[in-house]
Parts: sequence; C-alpha cells; structure tokens
Amino acid sequence: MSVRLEHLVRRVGGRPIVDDISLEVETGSFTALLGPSGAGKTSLLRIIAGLDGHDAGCVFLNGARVDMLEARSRNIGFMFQNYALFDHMTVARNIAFGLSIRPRKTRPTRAQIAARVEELLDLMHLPGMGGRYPHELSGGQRQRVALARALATGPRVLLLDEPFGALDPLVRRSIRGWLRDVHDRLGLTTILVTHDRNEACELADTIALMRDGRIVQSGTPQQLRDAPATPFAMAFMQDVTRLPGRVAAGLFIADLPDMRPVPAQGPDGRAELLVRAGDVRLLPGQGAATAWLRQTYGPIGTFDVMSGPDTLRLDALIPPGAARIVVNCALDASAGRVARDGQWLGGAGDGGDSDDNDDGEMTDPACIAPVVANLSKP
Amino acid sequence: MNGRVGRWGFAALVWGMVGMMVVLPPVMVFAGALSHGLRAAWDGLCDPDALSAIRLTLLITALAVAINSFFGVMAAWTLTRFSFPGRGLAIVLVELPLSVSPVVGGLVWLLVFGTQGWWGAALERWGYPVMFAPPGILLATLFVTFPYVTRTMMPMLRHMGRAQEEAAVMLGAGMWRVLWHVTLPGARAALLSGVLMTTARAMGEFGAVSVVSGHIPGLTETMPLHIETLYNGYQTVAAFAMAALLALMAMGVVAVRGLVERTALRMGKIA
Repeated sequence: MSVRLEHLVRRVGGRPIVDDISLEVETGSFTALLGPSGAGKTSLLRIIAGLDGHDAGCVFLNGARVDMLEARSRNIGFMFQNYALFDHMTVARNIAFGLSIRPRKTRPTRAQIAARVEELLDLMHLPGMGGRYPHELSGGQRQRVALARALATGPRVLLLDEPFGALDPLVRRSIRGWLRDVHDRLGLTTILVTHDRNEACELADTIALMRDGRIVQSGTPQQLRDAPATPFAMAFMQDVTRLPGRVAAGLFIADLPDMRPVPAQGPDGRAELLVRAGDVRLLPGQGAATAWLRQTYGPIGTFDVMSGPDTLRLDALIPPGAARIVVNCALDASAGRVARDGQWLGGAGDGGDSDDNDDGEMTDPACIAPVVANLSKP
Repeated sequence: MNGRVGRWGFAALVWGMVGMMVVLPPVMVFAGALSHGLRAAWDGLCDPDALSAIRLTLLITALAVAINSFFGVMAAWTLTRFSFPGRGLAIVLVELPLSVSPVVGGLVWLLVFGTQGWWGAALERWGYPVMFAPPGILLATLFVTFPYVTRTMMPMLRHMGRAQEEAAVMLGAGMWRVLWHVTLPGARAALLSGVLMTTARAMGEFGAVSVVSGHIPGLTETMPLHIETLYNGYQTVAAFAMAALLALMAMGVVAVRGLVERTALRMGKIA
C-alpha cells in the first residue's frame, strides 16, 4: 500500500514543526525518515498515523485521501518508541487486542484469534511466551511483542518510531536484519523514524533526510552518500571535516597554508571545504606541513597536521611507505566539496567524486568508498 | 553505642505518639462499647433508629462512591489528557473540598437548596425536598469526597503517559474502549485506592452532613450524627457501640487499601 504526502504542514505555537513536506512511498518499500532530533520525523509519522493533526496538506494511502479519517480507522500498524505494551495484559492478550475489540460482525472467533496469536508468536520467534506479562520480558522480546501486536490486524502499512533506541547494541544488530526480513516476507510498506544513519542505510531502500521540519534530500542511501544535496546532508551521512578558507578567482584557498588550492565556481569570499576521510591525500616532500599519524583504519589514518601556526586533526589516506611522522608535506583535498552558507558553491553535487585523481597512482575512490562506509559503522 | 541509644529513643518517641494519638482512642471506644458487656452493645445497635442510621450511611456511601468514582475518573482523565483554557485553575478547584471546612461545604448546599435558597422552596413544593432529607446528605457527602479519586488517579495517569492509549487507538479502539480496556486497568491500583479513601471519608463525614441533615432520628441521621445524638442523650454504651462499629468499618477499608497497594507493588505496577 503506497503512502503519499502532499505539502503537509503542522504548526505548534505558530512555529512549523512539519514544514511543507511532500513524499512518495511506494508499495513494498522500506523508507527511513532520518535526521537529528527536532527535525520533525516523529511528528510526520504521527500525522501519517492520524495521531496528530495537520494544518495543511493531504495524506493518501493507496491513492485514497485518509487525513479526514480517524486514526483508529486507518488500519496502520504503529510501533511506539517504548513499545507501549499494555502492562496489565499477557503477551497473548496484547497481541490479540486489535482483533478482540472489533465489532461482533467482523470479529474472528476465539479460536481464530488464538491461532493468529500463535502464528505471530512463531513469526516473532517468541514461542510459548503468550502467558507472560510484559515486565517479565527482555527489551528485545518486548519489541517483538509490540511488532506482533501492530501486525495482528493485518495492516499493509507499518510505521516504526525509533524502534531500536531502547536496545543494547548487540541485540540491535540482530533485530535489524530480522525486521527487514519480516518486512520482505509480509510484503509491508514500512516507514521507519531514526536518527541513526547506519540503521537507516542498513534497513531502508529509500532515505528521506530531514532537518527543521523539511526534507533535505530523499533517495537511496547510495545517492545520499554520493551526491549529497547540501553540506548538511553530506555531514549527516558521513564523517566529514570542515576546512575553513576562501574562494578567490575560481579557486578555494584553505586557511591552512599547505593545502593545495581546489577549483571552485562562485563569487569570491569566505567558504569552507568539506572532506571525507578518503578525500584527503598527503603529498610528502611537496610542502611545509608536518603530520603525525595517531590512528590507523585500513588505508586511512587520523593525522594531526601542523601547518603554519595551526594544528588540525583530520582523516587522510596514508601515503604508501609513510612513517608515523610525515614531514614537509602538502595536502591535496581536491575531492572535497566547497560550501558557503549551507549551500554548495557552483551548483549542487559537483566538484566531488567525478574528479579523477591527477596522478592516477592513488587508490581508486571506488575501492575506498566501502572502507569509508565501514568506518562509520560501530 | 550512642547512635543506637538515639535510635531506640526515637523509636520509643514515635511509638509513644502513635499509641497516644492513634491507638488509644479506638481502644477506648471499644472498651466503652463493651463496658456493660457484649449484650448491651448489641442491643444498642439493634435499636430501630440505630439500624436506620446504619442503612442510611451504607446507602449514602454506596451512592457517593459510585458517583464520585465515575466523575473522578472522568475529571482525572480530562485534566491529564487534554489541555484547555483554565486547566490549572480546574486542578486547584478539584482540591478545594480538601481545604475548605466541611461545614462550609454543607452551608453552600443549604444556601442553594434550602427553603430560603434559590430552588429549595420550589423543589419542596413539588415534593422533592433536598435539605433535611437524604438527597441533601448525598450532595454534602459528594462535595467532601469529590477530590479523592481524582487526586489518586492523576499522578498515575500522568505516569502511564499517552502511549498505551495511542497504541490502542492505532489498533482500532474507540475512546470508551481505550478507557475501559487500557486506561482504567492500567491505573486500577490508584483507582481502588481512591475509591477506598472515598468510602472511608463518606462513611465518617460529620460536618457537612450535620449542616444539611436536620438530625431527624430514624430518617436523616447517618451513623456519625446518630453517635452524637446518643452521646448527648447520655446513652453512652449505645453511642460507643455505634462508634466501635463505624471504627471497625473504617479499619476494614484501610486494611483492604493496604492489601491492594501491597499486591500492586508486588506486581510492579506502581513505579
């Protein structure tokens, strides 16, 4: 069941917390609403569910407008951040709740409900847990009960609000894979709210990156990594270092004296260069900077770079055969992106990965990318 | 050594206070009731006026508890779940009967429903007297016992939060189902506690009831009022017997409340 949002606005106290959001979620897709806290992700999810109202715009489920429909009539599965299990009911009664409160005409028989509960307990790897109370379960088990309860009435759309926040990291990893599995097996359309980019990248087909109530960019995880629409998108999706400097005559000149100028389009003035770990190379013997290697992750190292009066910590490719201290080096960051006032200079998305390395002997960026991606995972 | 002496000293002090202020009076009541033997006490309770007072007290208590439980739950739910203009003021007003003297509460009803009051004369003409009749006693009792259920439910509802109710809504439940299947069972320990406090207070209320009842033996006297009448009439044994019965009922309520809270604690329902 597809979900379409058109120009949704929700204001609280005059301030828009959801600000003109349009989004298309295709049937069967797994979409993540990703962003820092306060970006309006949960508010958006609650509007889709019908738990909160909106001031303007429309919500469509399978092409039918539903935003005038009560939350209880939308048949959307919703999993709350802290699961919101009914503490006074057993696991089985929690799961059966949605079916057992149906009006008599559409309510399944007791036996049918019990069978459905058993089926869901099996699907959730919770066999024999039906008689327990929520406070007798572990966090991971509670989460699975919450999911079973949300799925019991057979919704086609599943909304998940920060579902992994309360779990310890090990359990989180295993549950992610399993959740994606459930999504695929049941053919659900799932929307997940998270502030964890790794979670979003691992689970979702599409990511809608949000900030201040707006969608900054939406696309596949790969698209967001390779062509970030704004400096914020780049910094949120990957670990970046921001190098201050200025643009003059079509070149970005960093405040760091030993940084090679980078071609940049746009008017002269202050600007900054955003570089990822693999974007910076040390060029030994070509400058006056001194770099100390502090940490190594595969081909990439964290360096303290002393250049002129400044010391800067940044991640760079380790030059082949380099010692722990690289002296008299220059820095090449031509793979970085130049930004000013939160926008890319010279149009979005250029100046980055399309540039080939001038010397050609360096590692191919395509090989580095997965390494960088792994680095950002815990 | 010193600390130990201090500890025992404080314990003795506490027990001294509790013994004098709390234990001694009921013991004296029971002693007074049984001073002429069990038989005399029993006869005192079997007097028609006494039986009528017991019946009236039970009736008023049952009605007050039922009505105030319903309105108390609705008030607590409304005040914790919705924000509306004057909500803060409403919360203060709910507590008003706790701080206002019960006599004042009774007088208010007298002003409204008394023969000198707004509607009193008309109601009396139509044959529905409110003052100096059971309806007035009920009104006065409702006023003094109104805060208890609301006051015990509100912190519990706030603690529970909205998530469980919203989960029920997403599963297709309407407002009444949410209230009946999720909210009330979740807060049942608090609700029971509030109901039992209401019960204890309704049984024992004297001041407000005294103003509106008119003290007609056999008709409008509740147990506390009847005790006063008996005592003023020098029927000491009967007065003490009635007092002992009232005390027993109150103790029973307190005991049930303690039991409920202990069970709830054991089940981890009160955080």
